[in-house]
Formats: sequence, C-alpha cells, structure tokens
Amino acid sequence: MTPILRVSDAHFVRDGVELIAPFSLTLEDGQRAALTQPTPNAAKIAARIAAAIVKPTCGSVFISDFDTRLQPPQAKRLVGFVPADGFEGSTRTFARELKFRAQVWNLELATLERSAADVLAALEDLKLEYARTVALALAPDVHLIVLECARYGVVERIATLRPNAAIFASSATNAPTTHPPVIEFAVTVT
Amino acid sequence: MNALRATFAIARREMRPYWLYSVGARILLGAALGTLDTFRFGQGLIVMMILAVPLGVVAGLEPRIRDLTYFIAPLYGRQLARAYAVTAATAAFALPCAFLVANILSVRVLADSAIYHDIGFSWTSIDQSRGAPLQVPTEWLVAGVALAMTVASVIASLVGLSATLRRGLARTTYVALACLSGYFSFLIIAATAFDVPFLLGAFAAALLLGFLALRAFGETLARYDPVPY
Repeated sequence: MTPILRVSDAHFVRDGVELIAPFSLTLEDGQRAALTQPTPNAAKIAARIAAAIVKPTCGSVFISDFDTRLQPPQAKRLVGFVPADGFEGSTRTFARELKFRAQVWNLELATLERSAADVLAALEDLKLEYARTVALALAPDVHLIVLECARYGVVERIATLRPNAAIFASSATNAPTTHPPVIEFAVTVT
Repeated sequence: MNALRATFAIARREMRPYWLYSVGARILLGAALGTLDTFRFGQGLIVMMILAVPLGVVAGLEPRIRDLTYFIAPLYGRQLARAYAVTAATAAFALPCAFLVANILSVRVLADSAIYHDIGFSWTSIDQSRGAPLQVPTEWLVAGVALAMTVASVIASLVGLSATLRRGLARTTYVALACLSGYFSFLIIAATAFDVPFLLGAFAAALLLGFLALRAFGETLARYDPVPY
C-alpha cells in the first residue's frame, strides 16, 4: 500500500539560512507523527511542506503518489490543512467560506456543510474560531490532516473524528506553556 | 468547468467590500471627469489619461494574493492568476469606462450647448490611400481615447499583479514597469489610430503584453512559497 505521506530529506533554506533541518518520515493511513521545531515560524514551514503548500528547498515530499513539487493540486486535494490561526469571522462568513470551498474543491455544498456541522458539534468545547478552522479542514474527505503549530489536545480529538486519516502535526519548542505541544510520536521522525 | 467555477469563486471572494469601494470611487471619478470634459474639452480627458494607468496599477496591487486559503486550495498557479486578473481588470475598467459613459450621456443631455458641438469636426488626418482628409468627430476622438485608456489600464493592472508578490526595490520596479507598459500600450494604439490594420496590430501587441504579464504572474504564483516572516 502506498503511504499517504513520504518525506525524504526535506529541508528549507531562505536567504542562505537553513530554517528547517533535513527530516524524513513515512505515514500510512491512521498513523500520527509530530515534528517539533525551534521556532513557530519553522513549525509553520514544516507543516506547510507536509501539506504541499511550500516546496522544500531540497529533498522530496510525496502525498500518496503525487509529488508535491510537480502535482501540487492533486496532492492538496488529499490534505486537510489546519492553520495555526483560528477562523476569524461571523457565522455568515463561515457559511460563505464553506460555499467558496465547495466551489473551489468542486464538492457538493450540502455534504460539506453537514460534514462541517458534525465536526463543530464534536469540537464544541474548543474555542469556536479554532473549531471552525478544524471544521474547514476536515469537511472535505481527506486522507492526510496537517496541523500547523498544533494546539493542545486537538490531535487526539481529530484522530477520534477521522480514525482512518493520517495526522501530521508540527509544533514549536518555545510555544506558550499554557498550550504544551504534547503529541504522541507514533512514527519516528529522523 | 471546474477550473472556471474555481476561478469565478476566487474572483467573487476578492470582490469584497474594500474592492467595491475602490471601484465605486473610480466610477465616481470617471463620471465626474467625463461630465467635466463636456463643458471644457480636455479638462477631464487629460486628467483621465494621466490617472487611468496608475489607478490600473493600483487595481493590480489590491488582491490579497498572500491569503493562505488560496494556497491550501487544490489549484494551479495559472488558475489563481486568472482569478486575480478578473478582479484587477474589472477594477481597472471602471475609471475609463465611467468616463466614456458619463461623457456620451452628458453630451447627449446637453445637446447643442455641449462644447463638443462648438468644436465641430476639427480633428483631421490624411487618409494615405486616397490622399483625402479624414475627418474625425470630437466625440469619436474622446471615445477612442477612453477605449485606448481602458486597454492601457487593464494592461497596467495585469503587469502590476506581479508586484504583489515582491518586496522592496523589485516591487517598485514592477510598479514602474506596469505604468510604463500601460502608457506604452496607449501610445501604440494612439499612434496607429487612423490606420485600421496597424490599429488592430497595436491592439494585438497590447493584448500580447497583457497575456505575457499574466502568464509570468501565473508562473510566479506557482513557484511562490507562502512562508511566514
């Protein structure tokens, strides 16, 4: 079976400074991995590399059979990306965002709305802004969920909601201590 | 079909209240200049000719290109570029088109009292093939200039889009390049205005410039990495 995420010696350099040291990992359906970075920015970049949003300077990233450098749209279709920032906006804005995503992802709006409502109901104890961000990411049928600067306890909740999806979370070591990035390392990250 | 649906969804999302205010302001300015020109020939037209291109460049700088939502979406760079182009070009259209419509309407409303009728058919050129003077009504001249400025401001907005992903000197250079390409498009159209084959060639050259700018922007978007600073 093809792993859902394959990262081989991916690293990221900007202006001659290595922001992400080379890392490799393989994730299959239902598995989880976490990557800790020294700064929040580095953690964000690592998550975006795994979600096919940022291309690594060196190394390769495959999501299922798709090379994120050559086929980013196909790869992104399999990924639910949870950004670090919560969704700021009213209920109406959220509904408009769902409609927008239905059009861009070419999905049925009713299905997307029902799926988002289910996720919101399951995450009702979370802060609404963040729950909405997670709902937007999980609403399409995704195989890989990537969390940027994952918040405390969210990975476990998502794993319960989508047990068959692989989860990759990044976090920063200097993250606020009120939200310690305690995430299970199910897969060894080298 | 999916690509078109996504393109229009992004364009609609970018046509947010700020964009609407910006277009509204352009329409008001264009209408005011168009009406003003009816009373004193050139007063509105020259201001419009000066402002249309820079405002076209500003229209190209307005889209929220760095919005992470667009990079999460399963889209190619060219699809994103097309959507931004629709938004930018629509805003760029507003000033010259509002000028033209206001001008035509005010000339019609004012009828004989409009200054254009006093000027009469004073704009002439020599038709090279027949050697006879070619008379151009002033209204046509104004309409021609407004149409040429519409093309020029759209070209400027398309080139200006590339400045959005750049910073510092590169951004300033792109803004200057966008202004130059807008005025250049206008000049080649104006210089060939009385010769139809050359005029068509000038329009084709201007459109080619816009197409190349959009293609380059699509490539830049495809290569762009939304990295936090």
